[in-house]
Amino acid sequence: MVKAGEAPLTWGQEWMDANRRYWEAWRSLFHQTQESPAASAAGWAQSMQQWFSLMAPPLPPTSRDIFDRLTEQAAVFQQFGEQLSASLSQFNGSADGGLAAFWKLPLDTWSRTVSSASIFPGDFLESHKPDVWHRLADDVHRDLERFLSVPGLGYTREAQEEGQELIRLALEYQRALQTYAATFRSLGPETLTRLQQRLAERAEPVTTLRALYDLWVDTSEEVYLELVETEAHALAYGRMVNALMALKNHGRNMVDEMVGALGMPTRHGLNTLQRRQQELRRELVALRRELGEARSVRNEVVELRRELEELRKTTRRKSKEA
Amino acid sequence: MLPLQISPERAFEEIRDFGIKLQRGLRALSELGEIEVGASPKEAVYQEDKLVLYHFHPLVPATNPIPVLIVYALVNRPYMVDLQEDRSIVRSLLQGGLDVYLIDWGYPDAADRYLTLDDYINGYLDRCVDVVRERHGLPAVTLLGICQGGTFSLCYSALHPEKVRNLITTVTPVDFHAGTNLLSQWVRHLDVDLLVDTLGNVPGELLNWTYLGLKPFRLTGQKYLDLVNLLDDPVQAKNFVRMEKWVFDSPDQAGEAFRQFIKDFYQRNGLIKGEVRIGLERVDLRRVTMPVLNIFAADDHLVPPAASRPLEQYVGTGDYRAIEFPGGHIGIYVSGKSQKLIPPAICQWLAERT
Repeated sequence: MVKAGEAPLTWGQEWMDANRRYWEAWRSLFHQTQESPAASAAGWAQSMQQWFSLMAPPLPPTSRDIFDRLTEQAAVFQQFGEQLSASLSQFNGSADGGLAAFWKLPLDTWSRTVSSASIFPGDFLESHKPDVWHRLADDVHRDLERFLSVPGLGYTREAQEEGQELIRLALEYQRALQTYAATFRSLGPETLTRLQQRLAERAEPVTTLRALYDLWVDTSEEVYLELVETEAHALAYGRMVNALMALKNHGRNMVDEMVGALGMPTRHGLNTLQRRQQELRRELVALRRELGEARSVRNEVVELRRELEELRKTTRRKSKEA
Repeated sequence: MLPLQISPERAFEEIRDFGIKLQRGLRALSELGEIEVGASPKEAVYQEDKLVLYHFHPLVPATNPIPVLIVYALVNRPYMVDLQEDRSIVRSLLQGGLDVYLIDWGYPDAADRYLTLDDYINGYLDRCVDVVRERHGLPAVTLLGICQGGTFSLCYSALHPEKVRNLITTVTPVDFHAGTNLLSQWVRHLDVDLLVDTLGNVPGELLNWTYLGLKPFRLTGQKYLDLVNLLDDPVQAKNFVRMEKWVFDSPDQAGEAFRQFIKDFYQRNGLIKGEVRIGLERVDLRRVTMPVLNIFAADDHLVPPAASRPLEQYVGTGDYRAIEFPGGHIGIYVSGKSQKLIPPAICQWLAERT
């Protein structure tokens, strides 16, 4: 074992080579014939997927989902180890350089996870990109807005205006998404700073990858919570979702107009039908309740009449007897 | 002392061991087979549209004559209260001598988009209460509300106090603006009208992603690495997969009910202000005059204790008790600790009021 603090600067590379050999051996064990990529996490995950598709019987959907998430996170963990060793090989006691890139890695993973699965597509941590992208985007937006301000003319004026409005809404959504992503700008650096503090405060050193990973998760959650409970985040989130809904709504209205022109059922028409159907069902339930109450009253009346008749009969009989 | 002392050999071994465990675990995962949920025998006693009212078969002779109707939330599925034999709050209540009913709201589709809170509370819920009352020949039953179902139960009890003998609320939001309530914070600036007008029913997937966003690093990453250590044990692996099935089994939300719930409860915080209207009637919590047992979880990240605890200030009952459970929003129903604490506390509390 190499003693702590005595590791040579190149140990990260050695570790990666050893790891690569391990995974190559792993792959050959299961007779994978595909050319091996570098022992990156992506390659590892691919190997795992291939192995599993060969070895595993068909899975129920829940297990398949879990398998996908498991291999994805295992790949992250694998990459975590690789990046750590690569970063530590450049580590000279400061927090910048390789280490900073290393700590961003899991954030990127979360970003990809959100982007691929969220109904809000987009580059979740777009704010990590250089400022020049924002300036470029602003210029493009300005030019587009100028173009969009040209009034519609002629027979297709309405269609032109609707198309312009759609682009305007798309631009607003893009801006809102950027603003939302920007609220996470400080997440990576702040997590790194906080983690360094935590490491420095510890009585015992971190000696396993897993312990380091867990510490990173705890720190990330803590910093994330501080960010997302702010009013600025709530405003940015609200604006982003509202912009997306406005865009979708306008797009849906345009589609409705088109299918309506073709004589097909529209979303608006179906909504009207469903609303009326629900109103009718509500009225039906109320009428049934009233009918039930009326039946109950009627039965009571019938019963009272019967009793009254009995009383009359009894009275008459008593009168006769008297 | 260097804070990081991870030697290359140790790191390599760790990754290697992890890989071996993962390989074994994935094989175990493939051999788990179908995952069953719902441990206790039950029968459907009433159905209407997609709603089903279940009655659980008694395990012991009932010692409490007042039946308990469990009112689950519209989000996620109600089998969480009877997930498996050793994690079933229903089973524990049955063993405690209670007669238990459960409402399953079903999976709304486009035709249910215009269901309102009035339809749910004064319609479906009221009719379920009537069915249970008639079956037992009683004027009133015990309601046990869960999360949003607890809020529904509160509204129902305020609107129909004569039909509720006892009210039990569990992890129920009451003050929607209290404490660190991320969900409340996030929806504060949403244009809910636009959202519902655009989407119609609100997809369950959207809600799932919102919940994952509350603790993203833990819930989309770390949890699955922890799973690798569980997969050696088929029982634990099955438990995990069963829970996972429940977590991602999210029905869509009927659009109009969602619109009102978010606007009136989350955005306006109308329940504690007496500003919520269900149908034509205003919900006045002072009309909740029956005995109330309020159970909430100390580490709840979905409904923080600060959102549940204030209930005492607003209800009109003189018989109020609160229990703070040392756990989270889900743990209160499925953890081993909760099985020992929560059902006995409920049975005892009800026995004292029978």
